[in-house]
Amino acid sequence: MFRTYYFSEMPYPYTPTLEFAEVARTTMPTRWFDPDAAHDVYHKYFDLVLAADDIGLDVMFNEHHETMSNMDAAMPLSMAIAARETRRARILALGNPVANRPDPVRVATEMAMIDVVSEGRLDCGFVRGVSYEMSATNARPTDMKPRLYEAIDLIVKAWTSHDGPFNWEGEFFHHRQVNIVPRPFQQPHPPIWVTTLSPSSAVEIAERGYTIATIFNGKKVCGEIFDAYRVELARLGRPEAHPDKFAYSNFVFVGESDEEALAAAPKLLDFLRQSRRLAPGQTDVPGYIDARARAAALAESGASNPNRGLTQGLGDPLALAETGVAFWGSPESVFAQMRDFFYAVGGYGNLCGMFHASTMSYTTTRRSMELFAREVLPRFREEVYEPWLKEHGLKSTIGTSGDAERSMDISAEAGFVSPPAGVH
Amino acid sequence: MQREERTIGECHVDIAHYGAGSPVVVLHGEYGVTFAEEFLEMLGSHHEVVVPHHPGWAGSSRPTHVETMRDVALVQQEILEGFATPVPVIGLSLGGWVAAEVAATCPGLVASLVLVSPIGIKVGGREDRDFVDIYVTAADQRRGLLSSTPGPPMDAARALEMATAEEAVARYCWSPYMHDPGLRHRLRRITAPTLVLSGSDDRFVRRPDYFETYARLIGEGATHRRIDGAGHNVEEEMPHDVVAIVNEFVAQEMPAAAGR
Repeated sequence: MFRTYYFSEMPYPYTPTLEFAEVARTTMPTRWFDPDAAHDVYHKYFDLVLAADDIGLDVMFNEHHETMSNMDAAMPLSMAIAARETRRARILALGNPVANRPDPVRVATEMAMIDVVSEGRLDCGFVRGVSYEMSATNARPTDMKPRLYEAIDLIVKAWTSHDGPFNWEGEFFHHRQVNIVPRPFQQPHPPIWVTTLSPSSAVEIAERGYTIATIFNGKKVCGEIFDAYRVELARLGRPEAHPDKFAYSNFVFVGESDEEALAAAPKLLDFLRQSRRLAPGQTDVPGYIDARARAAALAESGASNPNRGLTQGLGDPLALAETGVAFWGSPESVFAQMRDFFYAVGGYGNLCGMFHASTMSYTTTRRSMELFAREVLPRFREEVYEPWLKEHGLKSTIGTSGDAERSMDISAEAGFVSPPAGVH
Repeated sequence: MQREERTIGECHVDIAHYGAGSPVVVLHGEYGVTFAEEFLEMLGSHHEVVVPHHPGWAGSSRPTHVETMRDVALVQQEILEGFATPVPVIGLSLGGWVAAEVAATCPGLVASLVLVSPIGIKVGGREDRDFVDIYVTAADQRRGLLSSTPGPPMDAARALEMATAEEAVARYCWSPYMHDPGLRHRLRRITAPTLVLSGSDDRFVRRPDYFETYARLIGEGATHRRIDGAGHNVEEEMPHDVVAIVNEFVAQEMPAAAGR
């Protein structure tokens, strides 16, 4: 079943504007942060998570650090709130920055707790983390890819070992007597997602059989990334991937009319505007970016300027809908944009929609989510997604959102070996 | 300039040779030899200048087990072991850190030691930064912290050398930042007569007492000399002066060194 995960970056939206402070991320002094105001917006964001659950959508969380553009600095805590307070929505972490976090066993434990408290509704994503947040854990920017994958391997082993403690003395992590409690609810373990912005990274994700997720890059580049995944599967002689192995994130807003929807565009686009207000030196991190790529930039400009283009237009909202950076408009328009995007990228099964950003109200956001869930999503499933599955001979999974069934179905299709139910 | 490749364990070391005369080894700094060529050529008119590139810098490979500055120093130690007699060593900034490690681990390999703006120890307290954090410095301003000399014009080859060098520095120097907490306790083992040279206008090392502390921790055989008007990479900004100082120091210490 095609899933739509609601998310918000959970911003603290009251920072000084560009005219007063060029840098908004990472180094902005927290004297600009009012905990009392933040209290209100945190609760608005958790109310919107409950709204998504209520409306029939799923929910996603992501983590950033030292920035007022995203107050979800410890994502497992938000997920824990959702695990207890939501009833049916799947809870996606996109994701745990395990190339940065020093203790993968702790991450495995946190995720297992969420999975058990939510009765198996966790989708567990892992990410490399952005270059400008190395200082969040002070992890070294070299060898991040192998470190990410060793962490994931240790986490999966911690989730799936049930015969007593095991040892781990790897290249990056050492841990004696790993024996986590609780064990995850989903068997053999929660679905794993990994994000990427490049086709070359899709190869390993495909080889491991994880769900691949990408963000904001539009039809063409997203299509290239998904194709690289498919090509690798073919190269390995494996069957065609189910579309639920593919995920895309962008802005989503549905209004009664195109005009009404596009009126919300500036606030959603403000997320990108704030995201670019970066401190010097923090995007151009040696090791994080391959030496050859950095050399090309160095040779060309002699400098990297993360704030280049800050005051330039972010693009005409209609053009952004055309390329797939956003799905916004009337229900009819959003349906058409989603349909076109779906075919352009060869099909996908998960949309992570940034329905909320900036100072958008609970009311405005909820109305958009309701229109989407009522007027767009069912029609998209019926007219685009399910027919596509049938045409490709893939299992149709019509059902209500958030069915725990889904993980079992998908596990079987993905080739996970499910042990017999019950205690071993 | 001539190139030699030598294999040290799993590491292929690219060694540059400048000039002719009695050998001195120069352990390069953060940017390899990219900006130090003038100094090396000048020194080469008085000595054979041997410059083994640290593992991870352009030319030398980095076996995956070479992860720390002490691993780098062990490779350089083996290079020095290849000389028949103790040899004068000049260390430039990060190369000074490597030189100090080698001289402390194997004191007998080093006839005399010139450390130009050596890094690698921490003098300040836990909330102090001895060095400017280059990772919150705009990329186009990082070089300016070290030196006011523009160096050769940027081209693709130069850019790749610099990007490779910056990645090596990130690997070895990220955290603890630009130092090894244990080194200050090992410096006392250095027996070679040592000159610590620094500039009065160093924009990278923030503590005015950093280099005199370095010399003091080495002990009685070490002196500190400050060059007025020079920044961090003194050998780039004032190559003539540094060559003259090095020649004088090496000459004066050689008779004593030969007797060890």
